[in-house]
Amino acid sequence: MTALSLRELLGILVGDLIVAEAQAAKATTDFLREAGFRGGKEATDDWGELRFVTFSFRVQDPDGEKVRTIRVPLLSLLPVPLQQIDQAEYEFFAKVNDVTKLEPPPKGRGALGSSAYGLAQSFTDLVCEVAPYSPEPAPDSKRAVPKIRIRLTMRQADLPAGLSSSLRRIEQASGSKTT
Amino acid sequence: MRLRREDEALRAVANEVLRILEPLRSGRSLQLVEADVEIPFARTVTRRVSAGRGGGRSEVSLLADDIRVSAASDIGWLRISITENRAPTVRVERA
Repeated sequence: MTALSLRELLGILVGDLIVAEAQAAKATTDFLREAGFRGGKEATDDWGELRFVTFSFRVQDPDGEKVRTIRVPLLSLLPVPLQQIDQAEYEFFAKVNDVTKLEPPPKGRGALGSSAYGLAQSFTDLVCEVAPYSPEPAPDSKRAVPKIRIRLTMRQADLPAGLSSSLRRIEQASGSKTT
Repeated sequence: MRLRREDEALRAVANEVLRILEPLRSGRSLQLVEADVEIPFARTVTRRVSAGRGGGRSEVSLLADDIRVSAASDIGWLRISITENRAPTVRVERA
């Protein structure tokens, strides 16, 4: 198994959650577009026309029997799959293979993705290898299983003020026109 | 690499783990609510002839291979805990 620094190991977990959220959001958008619209152009922002369903039924009026037709957007009849991560819990074990000291790169020289990227000062990192999971280790087995136990609980963050204000502006910019 | 001077070494490791976890508490997309990290370590005292009786230097190793061959009494645990809206706690448990 590949050894990774503890920083990278934790970063991968958090990064994967964000990727999962993004994929869920894309799946929802795809659903809205495919189920709710028609005639849109592939790979463009033009979603085409809103898809309506119509149905009719007979009603009795004072003037006699009439047919009434109802037209509603299909999307208003469907449950829209809006999936979002509420809480994520991780528990895993890692075995320390090495302890390394990372020095910050010279100013302006640290490449994105390099292990020292973003470091402002020297950093002692644990080079780990994910170890087999053992849910409840017996007290006397500590020597047999010398591994780090990491338990993390992550939750959706509140919408940052800047993003919230940007979304409000986007909402104000939307509208309709008659053609 | 072995870490010299036990308390200083453990403090350094705890600080580094917290330097990784603390920014996640104020994450913009997802935020860390709770974390428990338990890190085993082995303690060894290196005897030096020049230090005379009782002299020696305490070393700490986090390497799995070193811990596996250590005596049970030389194994300790560094426990780092983060809970919501509280300062993190760090405990050192020695056998």
